[in-house]
Amino acid sequence: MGTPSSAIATNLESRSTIQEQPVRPWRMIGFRRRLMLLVAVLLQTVFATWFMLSILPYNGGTWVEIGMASIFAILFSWISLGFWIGVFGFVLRLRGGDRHSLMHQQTASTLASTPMARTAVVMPIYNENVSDCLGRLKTVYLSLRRTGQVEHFDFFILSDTRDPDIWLDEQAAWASLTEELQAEGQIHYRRRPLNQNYKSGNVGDFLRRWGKSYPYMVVLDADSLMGGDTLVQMVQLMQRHPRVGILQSSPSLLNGQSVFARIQQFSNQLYGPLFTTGLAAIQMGEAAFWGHNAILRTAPFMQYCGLRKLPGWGLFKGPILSHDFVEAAYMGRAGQEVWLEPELRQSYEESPPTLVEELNRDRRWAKGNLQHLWLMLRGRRLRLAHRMAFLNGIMSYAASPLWLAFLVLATVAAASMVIWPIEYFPEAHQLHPVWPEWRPLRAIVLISITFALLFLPKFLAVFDAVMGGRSRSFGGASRLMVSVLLEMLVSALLAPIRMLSHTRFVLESLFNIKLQWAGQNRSGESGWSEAIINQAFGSLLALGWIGFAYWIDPMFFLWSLPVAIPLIFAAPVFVLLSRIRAGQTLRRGGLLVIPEESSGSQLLDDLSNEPIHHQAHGQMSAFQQALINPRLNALHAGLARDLGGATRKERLQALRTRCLREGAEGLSNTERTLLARDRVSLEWLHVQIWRAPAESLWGQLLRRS
Amino acid sequence: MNTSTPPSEQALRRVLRYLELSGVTITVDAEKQALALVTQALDADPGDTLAASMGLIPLYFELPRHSAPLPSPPLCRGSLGYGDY
Repeated sequence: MGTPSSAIATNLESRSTIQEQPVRPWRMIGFRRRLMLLVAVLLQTVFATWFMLSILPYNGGTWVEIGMASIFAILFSWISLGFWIGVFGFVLRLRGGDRHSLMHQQTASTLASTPMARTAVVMPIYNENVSDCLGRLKTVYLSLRRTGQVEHFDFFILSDTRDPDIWLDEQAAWASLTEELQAEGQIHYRRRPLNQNYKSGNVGDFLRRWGKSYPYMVVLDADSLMGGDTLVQMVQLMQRHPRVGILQSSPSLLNGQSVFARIQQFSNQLYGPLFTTGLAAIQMGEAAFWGHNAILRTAPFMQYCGLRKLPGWGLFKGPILSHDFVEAAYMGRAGQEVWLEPELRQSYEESPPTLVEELNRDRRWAKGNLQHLWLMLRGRRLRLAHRMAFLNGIMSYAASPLWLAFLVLATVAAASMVIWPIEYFPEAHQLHPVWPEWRPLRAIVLISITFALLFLPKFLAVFDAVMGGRSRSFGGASRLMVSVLLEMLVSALLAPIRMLSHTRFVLESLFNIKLQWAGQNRSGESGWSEAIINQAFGSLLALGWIGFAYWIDPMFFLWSLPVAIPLIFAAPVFVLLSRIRAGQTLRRGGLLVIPEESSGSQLLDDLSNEPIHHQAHGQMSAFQQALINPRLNALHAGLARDLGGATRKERLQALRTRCLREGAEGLSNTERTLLARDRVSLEWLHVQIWRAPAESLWGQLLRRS
Repeated sequence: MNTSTPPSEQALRRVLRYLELSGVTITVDAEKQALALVTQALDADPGDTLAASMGLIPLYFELPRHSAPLPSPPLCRGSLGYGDY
């Protein structure tokens, strides 16, 4: 551990080559923990697969059964891994936390006396709700101001927004916010005219322009919320641990309104600490970067984390879509440590409000994670832990088609007992016949074991909350249990729906169908038509499947119901879970309550009581406002450039004339963007519009201004 | 108000609205000045009083100057390192 001054020196040092790092004590501890985890998972999987084979009619004697057992082994090991990480986290929390974590290596007074360093807080945004995301930024700023350390932080709103009505509103809201907080020169705004390489390209653009001015960079998502004390603590931890390149906090979900979002945030807040503690203890200095709510050491990040386009084929060609895991792997390769620190409080994000939105997001993430397969197999000198992190991300989505394949094979196996003649001698030169039969009692035992692996960590989390005196903040012990049961029921309902959707996303990704990278709906509800259209395929498939199952064997029909019923009723499930009023009713009843709601939170209070002053005009678009309102026109013209080039000037002139004649609606997004980026056009149109005849389009609009 | 409203009234309303949006406080004096402005515009160009009135605003009123805050700090250029895959 270095002194703060040496930390800063190291931090600013630019290394030209990747250096070999000496062995660090945590590596040996991490090795032992991972070995223990591996043995536990393997033993459990081998036993469960053997048990599974004993259930099957031919005990693995046919290709179908071999396929079933193989898939079962993969899926079971995946579940077992989650189980043991949860158990590990539980044990560590019982002991007061992991004493090898970064937080536990420092006393509170040492940390508090650590000098600060200049830090950029960057918020990349893309077609987001302006009031919401800038409202969150304001809350972070106010919280930092209360710490008395705000002068060490500069804020950057990094816009990749394409819609001129949104980015003009962003500019207006940013200017209003800087004035409101008297933070001119501290809260900055930059929009990229060309948004290459998605979010990583956006952050990369910031780093190229200003990265060298800041030893540290905190990355926020548009829905991130972080407390000032936490941000200060993160900078101080980085100062104290100069080998740490990325320090990832564990964001909790909050501010959910719909039933779906409230269930997500309840499970995240109750179960999350167990799993993140376990995960952090296994990964130690080779953790993953989740892309936001993290602090990065800027110099090594700039030096080692430029992302080349993938040179492969299909999915594996082009820009890297999910950049964060890759950046963590590259930092690890460069000898930098990446830590997940679950004990950093006041780090939040929001859940998608509906399942539809979550699945839209998963569609993008599935493609991004599957793309990591190429890096996992062909990435050079990456650390094994980071290759495993890639595998973990891939399995988050690949598990779904595997589960579906298992169901298909199970159906084939069940059908083969009815449709095709029974094979009494499945192997060549067999002396005694085999009497194939399913062993349902054994199957029930195996399912019980699987369910125990899935649900036991949840009950451990409840126990952890009760033991830690936190059950009151979840609504009290009895309401906590009812909430857990409700969450488990909804999880069971959603699992088959997610499985089918993720399978579709994986197939889309593998066949490299173009996906749209659109912003997230962070507040809306799902309508019936949207839900029915979205889930029609799954519902019809499930109906067909159970019909076939009933025809081949009523017992198999019963076994298929837990998967089929949620799929058949997916549309109502979607709609009900998206309801905000139902979510509020549950909250009033003390169900699915989270600590920030029951005990209060300064951040949440600021967020709801201190919205940004800027409000979008109710009747006019931001583009129309930019041309009409003298203050906004001066603002946007001040931020615009004098676009040059004879051809472009000619085009601008034609567009100005059309805009004056046909109004804003007569122009496309690209055309309006071009005009709004040109100072001369903005000023000219402003003058001409105010001189327009009363009966013209603009004249009529002026009367409503 | 519809388009049959006399041009002078339309011009007065537009001038006052512009002043208000520009941050000028509409006092009695300001209204009198606006009336004088429209009168001059009517004399100068009775065919297009609206445009003429708007053109005269800088002669009658000192509008508050609005400027954009500094959007970003001075550039401090650096580069990203692109290693192996």
